[in-house]
Amino acid sequence: MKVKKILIVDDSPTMLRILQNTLAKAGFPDSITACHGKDGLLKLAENRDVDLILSDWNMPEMTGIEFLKNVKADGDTKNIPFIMVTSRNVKEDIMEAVQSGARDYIVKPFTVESIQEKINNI
Amino acid sequence: MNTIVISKGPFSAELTEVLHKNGCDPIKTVKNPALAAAKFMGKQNIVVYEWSEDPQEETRNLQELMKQTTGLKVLLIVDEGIKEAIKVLVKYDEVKFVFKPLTRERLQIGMRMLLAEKKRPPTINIEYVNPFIESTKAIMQQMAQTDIEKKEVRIDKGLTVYGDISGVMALSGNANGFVVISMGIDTAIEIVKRMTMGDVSESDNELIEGGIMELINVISGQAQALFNQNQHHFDFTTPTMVRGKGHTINHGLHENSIVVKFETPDHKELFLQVCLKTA
Repeated sequence: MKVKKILIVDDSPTMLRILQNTLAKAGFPDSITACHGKDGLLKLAENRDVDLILSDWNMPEMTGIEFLKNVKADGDTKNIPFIMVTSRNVKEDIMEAVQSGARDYIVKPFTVESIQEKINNI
Repeated sequence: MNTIVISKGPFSAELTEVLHKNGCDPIKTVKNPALAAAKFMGKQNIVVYEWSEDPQEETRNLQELMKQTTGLKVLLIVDEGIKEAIKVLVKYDEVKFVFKPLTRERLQIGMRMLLAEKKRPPTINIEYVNPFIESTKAIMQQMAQTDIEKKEVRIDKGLTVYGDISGVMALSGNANGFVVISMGIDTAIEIVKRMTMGDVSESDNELIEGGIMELINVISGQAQALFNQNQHHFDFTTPTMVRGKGHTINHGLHENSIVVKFETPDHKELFLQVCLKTA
């Protein structure tokens, strides 16, 4: 699958910038951002051409796992690959994300190479 | 507190009153040390022990007594210059002594020493600190491409942050407490610049604070994985931010903290502080 446009969802402006710059270096310069799950759903409604979602887990308003469940419950967005990005390397969390429909799971810290590999494997 | 007075002679009403005032009740008197253990009750026993002129025999008697029950507190009434008493004191923390002749004042001082709350020495399990040290070094390398070197490890009373900016994470599980990463503003700007791969100025408050919070967040996450490998389990809260030097974090744990000072290759300082109360 050829990924062009990526939606990044994170409540930390620093993390959004880190992810945008890392994705650009990994060969994915076209990305849009949202600051929590609800904002992510709005951005998806406005941008029908999103090929991939990268989302943080802990966020206000709507958490990453709630956002994931909403994305997978909507016929228009359920086929967009979803990668969870989090600092919690806990087996139960990974299981929950995968069972809820996440395609993959990135544990921080990540590198340009590790992000590139994950996206290319979609 | 159940109290046994071992004395060959009479124990005056005046001295008994001092004991009562220090919470000693009931008070029983025996002449033979070998009979004292029979009077012990529960775990709170006090022995006021007037030594005879044969310190070697009395040392043996005392050692026998100490074997009989846990938590025993002993006040020895000894002759000045009896070195045997000192040897016993070194061995048993719960043994104090006063010199003969036993007066009201001396007994009061002895009881005060005996009943004083023992100050706890700093006890931080290094097993709980090492994963944070390892994780800090690794994350600084991976997220900020900076090899930091551990320069100093010390114990601080309480938890006072060192740098201009500090990321704080609370944790619970096998131990409760806080882990803090703290640094000067120049160091923070340099680290966040490297993390975000872009320009950062001192006015980019949100970006700098977010970067330091992200740093402590990821350090804690990696430490959590290391703890899990060793069958220790911790949960972390979301990180918070403290701005300004010398802030004391009132954590209510009454514990000391371990401070680890790191240095970047250009000699900038970075502090990791771990303050934990083990369950």
